[in-house]
Amino acid sequence: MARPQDASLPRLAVGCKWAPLENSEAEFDATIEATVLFPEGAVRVQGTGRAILELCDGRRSMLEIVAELQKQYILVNPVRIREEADQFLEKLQEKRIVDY
Amino acid sequence: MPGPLALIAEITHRCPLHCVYCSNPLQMTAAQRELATEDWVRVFQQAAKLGVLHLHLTGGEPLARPDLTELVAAASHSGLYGNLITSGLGMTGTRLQELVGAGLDHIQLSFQDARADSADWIAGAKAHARKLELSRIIRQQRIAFTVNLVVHRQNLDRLEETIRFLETLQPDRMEIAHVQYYGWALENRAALMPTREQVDKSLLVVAEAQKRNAGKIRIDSVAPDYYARYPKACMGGWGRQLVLIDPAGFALPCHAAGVIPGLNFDNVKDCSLEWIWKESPAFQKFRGEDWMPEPCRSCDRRKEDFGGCRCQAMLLLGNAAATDPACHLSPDHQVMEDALRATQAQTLIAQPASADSFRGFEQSAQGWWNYRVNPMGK
Repeated sequence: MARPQDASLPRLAVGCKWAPLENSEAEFDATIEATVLFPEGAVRVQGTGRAILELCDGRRSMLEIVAELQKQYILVNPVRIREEADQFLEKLQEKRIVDY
Repeated sequence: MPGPLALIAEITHRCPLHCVYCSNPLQMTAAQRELATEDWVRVFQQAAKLGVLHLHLTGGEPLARPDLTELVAAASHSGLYGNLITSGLGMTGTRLQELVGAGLDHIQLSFQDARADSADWIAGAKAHARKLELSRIIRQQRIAFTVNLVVHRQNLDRLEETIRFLETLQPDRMEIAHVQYYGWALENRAALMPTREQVDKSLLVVAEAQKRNAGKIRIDSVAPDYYARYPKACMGGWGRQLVLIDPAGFALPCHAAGVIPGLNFDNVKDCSLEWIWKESPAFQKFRGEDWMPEPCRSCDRRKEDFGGCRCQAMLLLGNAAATDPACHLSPDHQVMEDALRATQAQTLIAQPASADSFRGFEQSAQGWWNYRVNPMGK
């Protein structure tokens, strides 16, 4: 499977979902760990990993996701952001946690 | 102490299939003693609070419970990830739609073989054609789909063919599991135990299939511990990750724990799940390292495999506190080697018989299998 394209619409794969957060009232804070549940397993994400995955709603394109991330991580080189997001999503796609 | 990650809910022991390797205990719970809907609902809420992430609804055949949709909805409301482990018998398109609507996340459908005659012979019921039909219905719903195949001496030679057949069902995930020898499987061990040659070949076939399906179907496999050098970390360690509740409400650290004498299992009708997990004597019995004998006690792997499986030590050695004999370091490892030698010496060949009823399968397999029966009244 190839890496996400500019127009890809990444989303959690069928049967994968966010576990309820302990404090669901709290404001979004990527430094707090969140959990994605999938068949027979769970993966904890925080930091950039969580920030990327939170944007994968099946409506935003890869280009839009990277643009959003640039707003959040203003000091990071955009090429590097795209590179990291691609690698991260490709890894999760192989595990059948993300589709695009 | 961290809470359990998963709850295995054996909601009934009733089942239309009679698989010769069923993991249910030989003494099953009668329908009249099954927990009521409200008991399960309370347990699911307690489980979510305790930190449980995944709920595995299993049996027997969970579809035998008419309140299954209600149970799935309750689990979903509690925030649990709902997985249904099923033979598919008793499922219809409408019922599946209701279950998905109630929040079911994942369905795991068992297959016995790629060929109907062999599959039905193992299951003791005409089920294979029905499963095929159902897998098409499942793909029309938005739900994660796993196909599960249990492998053994009688079907391992066709593993490649069977995996390719399962690929055509387009699951998201495939689970290839060697028989684990408890319950009915231990009764039938002589006819189910594969040869070393079969096992070695099967590992290559699975690795090939994983490569072929990378990014499309996730393939997980469970190796046979009789052929391993080290034991499996059974249930992720006693009372460390999983809790199983049987149809009558008794909480066990493992499917087979009922075979261990002297353990008193508490019931969710009398106690909270939190108390059972944290305080009950049965869950503490083999938790940690204090119970361990040598060679486990001083072994580096004790934090990886936790001394292996307590039930296997009980079943094969008569001592639940012994090192799992699957480990080559166990002083009793000989019992495993003896069982394997007996396997290599046998020349049994599968002879699938066709029949229309369980009685028919039972008669045609006389002397071959002990088919799992259905629970008797109280």
